[in-house]
Formats: sequence, structure tokens, C-alpha cells
Amino acid sequence: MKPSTLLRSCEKATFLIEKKMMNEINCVEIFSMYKHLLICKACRRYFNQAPQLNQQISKYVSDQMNSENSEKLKQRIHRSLENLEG
Amino acid sequence: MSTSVNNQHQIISEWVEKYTSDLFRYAYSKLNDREQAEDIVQETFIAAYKSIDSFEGRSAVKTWLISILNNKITDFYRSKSRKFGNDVKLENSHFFLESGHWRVDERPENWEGNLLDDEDFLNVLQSCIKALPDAWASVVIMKFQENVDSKIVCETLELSQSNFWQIIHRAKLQLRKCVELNWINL
Repeated sequence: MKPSTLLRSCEKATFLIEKKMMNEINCVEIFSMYKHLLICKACRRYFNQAPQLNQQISKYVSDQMNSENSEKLKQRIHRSLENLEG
Repeated sequence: MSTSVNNQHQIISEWVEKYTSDLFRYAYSKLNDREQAEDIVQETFIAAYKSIDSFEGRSAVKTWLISILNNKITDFYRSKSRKFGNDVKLENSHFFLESGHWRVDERPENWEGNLLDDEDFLNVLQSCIKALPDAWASVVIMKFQENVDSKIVCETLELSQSNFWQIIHRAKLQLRKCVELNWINL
């Protein structure tokens, strides 16, 4: 993608926004993403919402895997192994 | 109880302490269901205990346990006649016109305020994640746990980089919309 051509596709722009969110975007891409945001309200909204959404997904995933749950699971497995021998 | 049984029990107990978290993370990202993942990790240790004699120490313990876990996950998907990694259509025509512009109905709405840190919101998010195709949910869960490097996600799930980004893009489009429909406009 040449930096001089204006990115018109919202599909591509949202793709670049996702790469940006994960810090895996290059200079050319970031430039065309921001230029697109100047002309597109819908993608600006997508861009503004993305950090909140990512934050909540991370929070959800880490809640699911928190250490308290993992301690409970260990206890449960220890018990089931003891029952096997009984 | 004989000494050797006692010994075996002690060994497996140590493994439970050491590897439960890792096995659970792996199972959870593949199954996208916490209870199911917990059950399968428990079954894995029971199976390991029963066949501990066949573990010859040629591979690392964790590798051996993961291979048992993987078989159980495969069985699970087979029994549900669901297939992990089934090719789910990755085209985005649901959201975008051929020109690449948003379809009118799919354009992001204005979100007043912020997503709340409360249980109701997390429930909405959970059902939105569960509504994703299994393979996509795995990619999302794996990527978002402690922000793992995407190269590692690709290696673990045997995905190409481009496939990984396509899945993240598509899954995020879908999650955003799902949250908007079920939470923002409550």
C-alpha cells in the first residue's frame, strides 16, 4: 500500500486498527489508518471503542484463569485422586 | 496401600500442584468453556495416574500430560461432532459492502459513556465470546491471556500469521457488534 493513496476501505481500516491495538502495525499502515480516520466517522467510533473492548476482553480472560480458581481446581483433582484409591 | 502406590500418589500430587494451571489454560483456550476445561484437566490427571507406569520419562512430564489432554479434547469434539478448527467462513461481507465501506446497519453506534466493570457486562461479554466459532474464540482467548505474542498463538494453534489476523479482525468485529446489541442498547 503506497502512503500517498488514500485508504477508502473501512474493512481494511478496521483491520489496521486491530493491528494497531496489538502494537503490530508498521509506519506505512499507521499513516494510512490515521488518514482514513480523518474522513470516516464510523471507523473513528470503532477506533475509540477498541481500547475499552480489548481491556474488557483481557479482564474477562484473566478472571476466568485467576489463581483462586486454579487452587480450587487443584483441590478438586487431589480429592478425586484420593477417591480412586479408596 | 503398598509403597509403590504411595509413591505414585505422591508423584502425581506433585504434578497436580505444578501443572494444573498450565493444563487448564491450554484446555480453556481450546474449549472456551471453563467447567468443561476443568473437567477435562481432572480426567487428564486421573488418566495419567492410571497409566503412570507407561510414562518412561523419555519426554518432559508436561509434554506427556499435554498429549493426554489433547487426546481428551479431540475425543470431546468428536463426541459432540464438533470439529475444532473447522473452516469457518472468514469473509467480512456481513459487515462491509464490496467497496469496503460499512453496511449501513453495521456501522458502529455511538457508545455513551464506558463499558462498565460489572458482572452484567461480563455476562454479556461471556455469551458473546461463547457465540463465536470455537476456533476463533480460541485465538481470542489465547491472545488476550497476558497478551501473549501472536507468533506463539500461531505456533500453538497451527495458524499462519495472515490467518491469525483475519480471525482476530473478524472475531473483534463480531464481538463489538454483539456487545453493542446486548449491552449498549439495553
